[in-house]
Amino acid sequence: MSTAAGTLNNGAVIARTRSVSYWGLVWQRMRADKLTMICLGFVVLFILVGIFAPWIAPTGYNAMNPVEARQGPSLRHLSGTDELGRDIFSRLIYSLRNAILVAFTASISSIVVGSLVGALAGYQGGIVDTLLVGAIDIMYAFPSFLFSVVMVTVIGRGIPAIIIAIAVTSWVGIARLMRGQVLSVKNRDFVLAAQALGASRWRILLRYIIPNSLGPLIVSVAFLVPGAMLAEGALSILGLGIAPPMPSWGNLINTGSTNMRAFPYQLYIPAGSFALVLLAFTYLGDGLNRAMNPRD
Amino acid sequence: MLVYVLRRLLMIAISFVAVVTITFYLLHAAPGNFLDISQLQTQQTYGNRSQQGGVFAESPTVKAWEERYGKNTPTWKQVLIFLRYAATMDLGPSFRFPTDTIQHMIAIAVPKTFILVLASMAVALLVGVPMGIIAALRRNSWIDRLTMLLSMVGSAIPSYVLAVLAILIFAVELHLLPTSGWGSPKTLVLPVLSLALGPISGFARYMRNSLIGVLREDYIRTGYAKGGSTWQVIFSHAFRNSLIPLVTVAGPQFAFLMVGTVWIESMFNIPGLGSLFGSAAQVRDYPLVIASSAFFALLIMVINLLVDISYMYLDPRIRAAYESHR
Repeated sequence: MSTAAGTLNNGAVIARTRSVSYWGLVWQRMRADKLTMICLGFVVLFILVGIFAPWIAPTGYNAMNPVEARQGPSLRHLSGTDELGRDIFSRLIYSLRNAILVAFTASISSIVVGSLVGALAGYQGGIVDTLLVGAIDIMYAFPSFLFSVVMVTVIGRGIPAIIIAIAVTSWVGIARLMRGQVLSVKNRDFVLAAQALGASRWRILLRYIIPNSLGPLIVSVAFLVPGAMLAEGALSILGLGIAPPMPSWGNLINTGSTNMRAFPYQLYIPAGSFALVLLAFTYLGDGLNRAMNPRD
Repeated sequence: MLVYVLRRLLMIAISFVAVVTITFYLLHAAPGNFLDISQLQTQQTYGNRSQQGGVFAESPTVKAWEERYGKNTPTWKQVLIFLRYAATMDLGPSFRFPTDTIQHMIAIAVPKTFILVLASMAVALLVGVPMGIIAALRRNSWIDRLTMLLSMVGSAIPSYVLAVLAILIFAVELHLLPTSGWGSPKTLVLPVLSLALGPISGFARYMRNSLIGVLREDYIRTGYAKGGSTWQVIFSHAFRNSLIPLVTVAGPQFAFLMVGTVWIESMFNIPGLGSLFGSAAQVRDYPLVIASSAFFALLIMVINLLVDISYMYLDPRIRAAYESHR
């Protein structure tokens, strides 16, 4: 709460409080946490680099220059070059772009699908609820990464296919959360008011119930993004991620590990930077969680 | 309790059948005949190496599939055929190894995966739990900070990246341990270490937070008031009370470790279930992919159920809560 103190004539100090919205409060708590703010800075930087990759990367992701193959890190090639003389730094930037593209698209689609399914189940109740909860439980029981692998083997290795393979497993958790939220929101007064005003069921669901149930979901969404990056990397490690020559962290790590004795920098740099990106995203989610659900 | 177990078993069965069905339908919905596609792709990737073992001889592949599932059989019928064979653990040959049976490959692979997972679990418990306890008792000391740092790293960084860094440091730079392989205890160190760090951080974080919560309870104060020493109070009251929910934390970690073996085993060349599945997926060996993923998933789901049952068995409060709900 931000307060401005003023002094009355008789010397008593009164506090004038300016009301702060819920999100303002969350933002204040987050700002007090230095590490979270540093992570936020990194995440914003990563996203910007990902978006503007073609302008930032010194070379294209597949620009070969055999004369300069297998050079260690230098000023000319910040992260060295691979066996085809491609600049690893540029390939890392494009990996970041792909990771962000896959992770955000997969997360957004699973949020949309998950919250719609969950909200519908919670709001409609009855047979719809039973069926949808059944479907959710079936998906939830099955180990998601195995399902993603099977999906990719069957539908291919294009970027859209990988996004689908990841989204198809990650909407379930959102749907579960959303259903619980809706169950607690749907009997509140403003829903009753909307009903009294004659709003249709869909309108009530989309305009009143879903927006008011989203808050607590933010935290799980914040963890969805690094989770999707992790899943994409895991697929690439198995040789099932984004198809070459398009780079991705998983396949950079994979190539690096075949050459690790002779050219360890080809492994250190991708593995280290991937770890850094995951840490930043995960810790930001952690900080958001602490700001939204303070325990003390 | 029995009703609960039966319902969960039914859920597992439905989940299993649903995923197998989805897989079969996807296979058939994919453009072209998947038998042709798999051959085309193996010729591309294995064309020049076909002598070495990635042999997908043209006819045996197609023949083996057609022998089992029939030519032009409707998809739903193929699912049923698969389920009937799966129920009797008769899974037939795979594309890549037409002379071996899948159940035999799985039988060879499973013990290795179990050793890996159980060893990682043991390491995680032995390191993570004491670490969490010490961190809770010495709040804000260096060991507490170290624990929190480790739990952040362990929860954010996947085991495949940890494995890579561990190989680089301990095998390539320091020459202390072999980079990969299976057999001697030495080969087990790095895979277990990289698999266990995630669960270690999970256990440490859980133990710390729950112990801090328990230490505020009234019965702890009573324990001190009765004249108990610090360690007496901690072990006979605090520790025991935060131990039961540890089972619920351990459950998901088991599943996490099992899935983790998919990439850890392929990175360390361990011939277990994970690498069997991973390599089958790489070369699109469909019979092996379907059978091994189904088996793998079933294993994980059953372990999850066992964890939940043991939780209910250990804690009468949970059992009572469940029974009164019904």
